[in-house]
Amino acid sequence: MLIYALRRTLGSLPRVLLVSLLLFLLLQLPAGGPADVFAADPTASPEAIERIEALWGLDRPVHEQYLTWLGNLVRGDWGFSFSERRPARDVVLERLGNTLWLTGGALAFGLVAGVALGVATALSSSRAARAALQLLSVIGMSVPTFWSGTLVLLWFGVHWNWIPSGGMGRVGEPFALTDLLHHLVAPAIVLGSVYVAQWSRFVHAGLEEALREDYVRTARAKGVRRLPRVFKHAFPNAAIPLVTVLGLEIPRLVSGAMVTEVVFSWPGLGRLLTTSLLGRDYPVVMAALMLLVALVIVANLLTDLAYGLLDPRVRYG
Amino acid sequence: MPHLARPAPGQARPRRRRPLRRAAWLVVVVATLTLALPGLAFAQGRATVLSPQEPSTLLPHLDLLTLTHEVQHLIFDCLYVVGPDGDYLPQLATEVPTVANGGISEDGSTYTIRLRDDVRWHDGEPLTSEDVRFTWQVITDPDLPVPSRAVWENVVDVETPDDHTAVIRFAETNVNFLGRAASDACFVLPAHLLDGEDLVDHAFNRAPVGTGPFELAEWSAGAFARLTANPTYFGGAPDLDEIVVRFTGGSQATRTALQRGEAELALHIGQADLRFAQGLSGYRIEQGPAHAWWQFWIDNQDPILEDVRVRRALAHGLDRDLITETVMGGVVPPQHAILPASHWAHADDVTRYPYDPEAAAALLDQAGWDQVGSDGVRVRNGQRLEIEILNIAGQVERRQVVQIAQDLWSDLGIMATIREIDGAGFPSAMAAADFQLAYGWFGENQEPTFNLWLGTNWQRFGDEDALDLLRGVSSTVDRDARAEAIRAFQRIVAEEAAMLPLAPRPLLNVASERLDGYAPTLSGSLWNAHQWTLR
Amino acid sequence: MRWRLLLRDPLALTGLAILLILGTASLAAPWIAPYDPTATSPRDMLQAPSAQHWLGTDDLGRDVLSRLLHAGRVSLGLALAVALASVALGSLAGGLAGLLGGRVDRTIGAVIDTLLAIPPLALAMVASSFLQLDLPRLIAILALVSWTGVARLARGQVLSLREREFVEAARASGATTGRLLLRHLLPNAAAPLAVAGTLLVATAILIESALSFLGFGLAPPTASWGGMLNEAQLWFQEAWWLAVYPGLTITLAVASVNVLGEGLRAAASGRDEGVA
Repeated sequence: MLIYALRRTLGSLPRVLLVSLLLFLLLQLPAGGPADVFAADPTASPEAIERIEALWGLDRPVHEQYLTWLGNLVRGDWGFSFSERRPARDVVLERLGNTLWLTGGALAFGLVAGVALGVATALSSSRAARAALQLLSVIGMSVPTFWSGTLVLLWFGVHWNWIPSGGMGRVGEPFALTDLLHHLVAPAIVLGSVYVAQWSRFVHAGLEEALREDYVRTARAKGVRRLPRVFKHAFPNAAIPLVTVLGLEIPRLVSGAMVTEVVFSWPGLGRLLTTSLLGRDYPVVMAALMLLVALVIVANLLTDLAYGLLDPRVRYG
Repeated sequence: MPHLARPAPGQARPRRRRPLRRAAWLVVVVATLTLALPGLAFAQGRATVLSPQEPSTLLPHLDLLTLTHEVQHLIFDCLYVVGPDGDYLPQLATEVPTVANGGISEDGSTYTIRLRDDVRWHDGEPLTSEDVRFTWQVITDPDLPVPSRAVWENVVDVETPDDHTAVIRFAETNVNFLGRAASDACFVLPAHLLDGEDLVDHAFNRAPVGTGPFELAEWSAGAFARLTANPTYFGGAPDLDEIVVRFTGGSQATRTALQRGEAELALHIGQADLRFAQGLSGYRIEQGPAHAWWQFWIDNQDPILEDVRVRRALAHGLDRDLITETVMGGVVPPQHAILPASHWAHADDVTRYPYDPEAAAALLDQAGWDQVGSDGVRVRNGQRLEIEILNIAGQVERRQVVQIAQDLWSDLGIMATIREIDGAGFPSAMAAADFQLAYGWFGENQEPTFNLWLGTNWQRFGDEDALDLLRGVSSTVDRDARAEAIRAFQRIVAEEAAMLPLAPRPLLNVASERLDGYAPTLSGSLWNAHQWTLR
Repeated sequence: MRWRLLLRDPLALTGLAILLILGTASLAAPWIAPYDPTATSPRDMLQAPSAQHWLGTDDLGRDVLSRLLHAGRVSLGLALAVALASVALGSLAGGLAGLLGGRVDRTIGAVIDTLLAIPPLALAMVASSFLQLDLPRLIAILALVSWTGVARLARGQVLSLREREFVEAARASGATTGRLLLRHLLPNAAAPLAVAGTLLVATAILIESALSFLGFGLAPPTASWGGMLNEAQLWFQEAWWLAVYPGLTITLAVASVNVLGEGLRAAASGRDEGVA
């Protein structure tokens, strides 16, 4: 499996290169460049701007800039943040963990709630439950998270004062896990709720099918209790479609996290990307985008590996 | 080939009972614990300040953001500041130089500054005149991305006859130095830490060492900066133990925090937030002085707008009262001259253009735009009267005004469209004359430098005689003579409608009733934070 | 396609009905909207819903109902255009990849893989923050992030169809690649492509509204539903109607498209359940 993972990682390198080239070219589109930020003060002279562009190598041809960037990237130098005056790597890595907390929390909530709901409805096997699940999943897919997030924040945060008003922790206090979790609950639920019903339908469908399989019936005949039967025997098979869809959903989950971060002032990569795009801090934009891409690729790899863990028929060869 | 295989599903041993229920309880307990955490129990003697934006660096002179200067006032000191009455107060200097006390030479070209001898940097080193000299060198260093070098670049030399005397020499009379040295370009840097270093990516950017009443203790990017009191501050130890500056990222989070009573001060709220702030209990809105104002830039050499009648029609068609009374919250009057009424050189007797759609229509008719197409848009020689308004995207208070103006001008038969651009792209579009009308604000110093007209001149104003009035100002020692020249210029601009001033842009802060000693001046809102107390 | 299955699906029919109502109302906006959507009246700002303004007024005193109706033209029209463009681009690229195989397949596959690795919203944000954004460009950007799914689907369909007899027959009679694809292969894959296209309308509405909400949308006074939410953010607490109605409209439209899409999928696959 290790060799498989390694090969997959190496295999995704050309893809990463292509992505980086595409994004780098996109960043050349705007009229004017990062040096404009310094010209925002009308007292800055054109010469001053030229000086800054030369200082940061922005006056060189695009391909040269790209190759320099790529070479530096390989050496661990991700460029220098124009707006934070420190290495872009420090800027983005600081935010990566925060984004992982949020996506992880959302994923955890989505999976736990989704599986619970799926199992419950599969066991009750009533038509009404199934219809309700379908309706819920449609609503989950259709409510924009920035809207539901804003409403949750206004309602529970401002109006009732139940949840914090955003951010990752109490301002100026030392880090505490409980404090982080306290702040994580609302955004994770908002982000995760999109997927709950959708995923529960996969669990539901998979379970219904699996419960009809021979080996589960055998287990039943052997006297294995109901819940162990479901979780130990039927569930692994039922989870396979879930894992597939999980892998496909990762880019959308990351997109959703970006919006949720903005709504809940969560200092993650998405919020960083928004501000650095508006501030034309291109090294940070590039670094943040590449990290998001890496996140998607790694998540895809992990789903593929999980696939194999769940399905004994899969061999990595 | 490695492969994965799970034990066949049938081999499971029987589980403990009810694992589900146990897990459910665990979830409930954890959720209750996290949700029921005690609310707000802040440390005593801490003031929380909300800032809509985050500094990119705390190394002075490298960041042009006004909010950065606000925060820097906690950590650094200036030679002078502007006090509550609008007078200069010495900070690092022992007194404000004047011709009378010998600090300024008769011809106004040399400033002698005596420094206090009891000032120490946060690392214990004493402040010397070498630090003043070094600060000038940094601001004018061609290899550093310093956004604004105005006035300092005219300095010929800074001499340091002794440790506590700095002599600043200009080639000719310069009356702008005091105003500049008391404004955003005032913070003195530690030469002993930074001389010879590469400042652009120096660690000092995020770990500054100053002489000020507070020291930076912690900076959590995207969230907050925590500053602790400097007990040996030469101006007296601060009463507060800590100041936490929280970066909210915008109005929404600021409003939420205020509503929950989480802050003692909110810096620079927008005019769009006024209605909200007026409804808050336990807070007061403070309108600090600022020589800043909102205006529409006009490209005076645009084929359509080079006609003064069209420019005057635009001025007559803009209902300034409507805008100031509604979306600007009714706290500012309309502005007609290109310096706000708060400025000492403001001219009150300029040509005014009251809201008068009929006068505007008549002017447009005279200018030849007298045909009206089926869509209500005026036409001259087959050309439609189309004007584009350039605006910075993403800011509600700008968007509101621009849309009202667009609607008002449309009523005159002008097809006004809005082009939005990010804040960073705005100046380069303007500098390239890639605009017809543009909405934004501008601020002047106590001693105006008129870079808006003599420097950038985005509006491409070409009346050289009028500009000559301004060119003489910085070398005129007599203040009344300066004022007369500046006023004459304002009258010309208004007569020509070369720029459309709209209303002053006050510095709006929301302060808690608990906060005492807070006194915003032209030097900002935090300049005297060491005198603040919490009730 | 078994249309009878669709007719027996109450959820899908409801979705269709809501969409028809929303679509008609938006199309008819210039005639049925009670006010000019761009006419400002600042002295009437932030008025709660009343007999004059059924859904209240916004921060410039504009009528919310009128703006919602006009914004529907933008949001729905744009989403429809994005879906059409994505289906066209996706089925062509995917079809070619499936039909020709080899290097073409690998190249198109690499492009799709590349695009799929970038979170769609991030790509759209980057693209739209750098362009002078107008309607056609916004459509192009959103199509750029949406066509890949269709392409994969089309490729799979063509792969499964291309060995079938009727294709062999067409090929034998000398049909060109283009003709083979457009006349024989894609029409036979029309049902699943149509389903995918329908669901793309929902995605497009959501991405556009998220983009606008983050401030990367169209310039004023053109409003989309997401843009209305973005502009009104500051007043959500004082003026709930500014938060509720555009959000509800988005949800309603997206949900309708989704149930309709699911119904179509069920009808296309001949199963009477939407569950995958």
